Amino acid sequence: MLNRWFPTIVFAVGLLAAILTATLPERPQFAEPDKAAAAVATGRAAALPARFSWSDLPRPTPSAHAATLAEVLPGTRLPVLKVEDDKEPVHLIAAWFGGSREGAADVSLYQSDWYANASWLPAREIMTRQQAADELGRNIRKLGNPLFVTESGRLHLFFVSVSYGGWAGSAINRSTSTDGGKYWQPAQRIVTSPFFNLSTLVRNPGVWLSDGSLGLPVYHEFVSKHGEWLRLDPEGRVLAKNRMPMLRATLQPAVVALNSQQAVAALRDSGPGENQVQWSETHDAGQTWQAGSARAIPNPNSAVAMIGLRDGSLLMACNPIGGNRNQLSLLRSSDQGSTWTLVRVIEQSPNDRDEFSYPALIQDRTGAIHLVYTWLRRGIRHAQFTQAWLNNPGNPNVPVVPQ
Amino acid sequence: MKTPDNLLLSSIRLPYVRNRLIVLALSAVVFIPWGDLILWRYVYGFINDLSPTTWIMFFVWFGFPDGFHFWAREELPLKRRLILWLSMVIFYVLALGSGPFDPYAYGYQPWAVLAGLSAWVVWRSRSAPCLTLLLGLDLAIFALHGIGSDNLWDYLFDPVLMIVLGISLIRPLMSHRKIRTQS
Repeated sequence: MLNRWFPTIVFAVGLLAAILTATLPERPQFAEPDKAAAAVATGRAAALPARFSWSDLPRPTPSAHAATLAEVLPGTRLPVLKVEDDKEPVHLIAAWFGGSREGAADVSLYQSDWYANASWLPAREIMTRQQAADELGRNIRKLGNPLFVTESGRLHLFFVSVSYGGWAGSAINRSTSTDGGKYWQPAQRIVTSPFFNLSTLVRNPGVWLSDGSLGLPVYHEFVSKHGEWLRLDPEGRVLAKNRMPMLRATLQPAVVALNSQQAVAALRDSGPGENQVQWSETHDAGQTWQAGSARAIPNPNSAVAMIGLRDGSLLMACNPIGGNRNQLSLLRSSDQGSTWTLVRVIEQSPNDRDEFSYPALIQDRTGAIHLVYTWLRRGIRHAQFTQAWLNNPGNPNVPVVPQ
Repeated sequence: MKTPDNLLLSSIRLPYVRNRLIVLALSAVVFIPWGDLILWRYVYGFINDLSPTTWIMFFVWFGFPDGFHFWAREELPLKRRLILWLSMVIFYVLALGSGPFDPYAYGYQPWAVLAGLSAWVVWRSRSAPCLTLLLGLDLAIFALHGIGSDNLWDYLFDPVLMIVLGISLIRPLMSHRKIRTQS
């Protein structure tokens, strides 16, 4: 016979333990760079001459898609800009998924490194389906989008995995590296959904918050398609989750912080009819998101990349044409995303079935801008350019990459 | 009249022993290799981590079947089970994106959920001591981060529990309807 008070005592003990261990994170604020360092970086980026070059990443498989790109910061604890870092050459790291075709059992995640003034190093398989199954302790049917995020002294690799069904059955996983991507810790699954942990995917980079937590834009595809905002602590524990409510089906938010509280998100339009780049904003560092009016940029249900440049403008890479993904362009906004101007067509083809898609953008610490994207689903292409090159576009409708 | 003592003794009756042997045999099947993995990994890939509630209820049912049924009758009568099941269904529908409200998000910084559970315990702990005990164990396991989730809701219930609860409602609801039709 249970003592009359025993259940209540057990509940009280459990409640107390839960209260003591439940997360109570600080009020979020987006991390802002040190003003002096930011001024140096702005001047350095502006001083770079106009230039553009492109190269192809290694192609170890017949099919490649969904590249991610990050800069490995030498010896830093935070992704801040330091003058002494200039002694080291810029080191970029890219990853993508490749195999015989998207969703096939032989798809793995591949990684390649790039050092300034050198070519891409041979691709290395960093996660296979079998390896993911072993590390995550479950059946893995296919691997999907990888994402690099640079953090204090280490790199995070987030990637999508599916145990059953299509991409709507995805979950996200996280691995870390403290040696610039040479060795990756065993992956761990992040629980973000109550229903069999179904349907959270990742595509675009996160934004660091001042307390060291990471705001990560993710998206959901099962029942409803919408963007979400996760707040993760440095060990990958979920601190908060917020939905990005939109009137249309949206995917793959790309987020740029404008100041400590404000950020804007451009989203892929996955709804019916005329598709345009969808827009969302937060004014409380990601705690709530409000739908904005769609931007006047056609979007053929394809991924969008967006970053804030050192000169304060926003740069977007996307397929700004209706229906297909056979043109990849750069657009720029100098009014925090309200209006956009086409500045360059990177690549285009008259064949509607050709695809230049899934762009990823970064601006490295020297001010150079890097774009990687899926090239015809056969490989990943890298374009490198400067702000000065964007400022003098010439005829923006002429593709800059030879066909 | 069933007392706790004879409820414990009844758990070694032959039908219950047989049922348990069947469950054990089925459990052994999941260790059979299939391809590169054992079958359990395929099951785990689908169901993920079950909530402590489901595990505790399973072990109580497995170890003390009569006690489990006695408790279920006392603390989870049909009406309460129906309300619980409907609440779970609504929870999952909202959490999967039907509308802007996401109740699951409240499980990461679970102050409101903890306040709600505490209020329920103050109101109902006398008439539902085992449920109170179960909730206390769930909270303790949440504090220990006992399963992979950082969300309190995942420690209270899961879709498998919702499905089992839904199945457990079918027969009583059918017989309830039959009685009403006859009268």
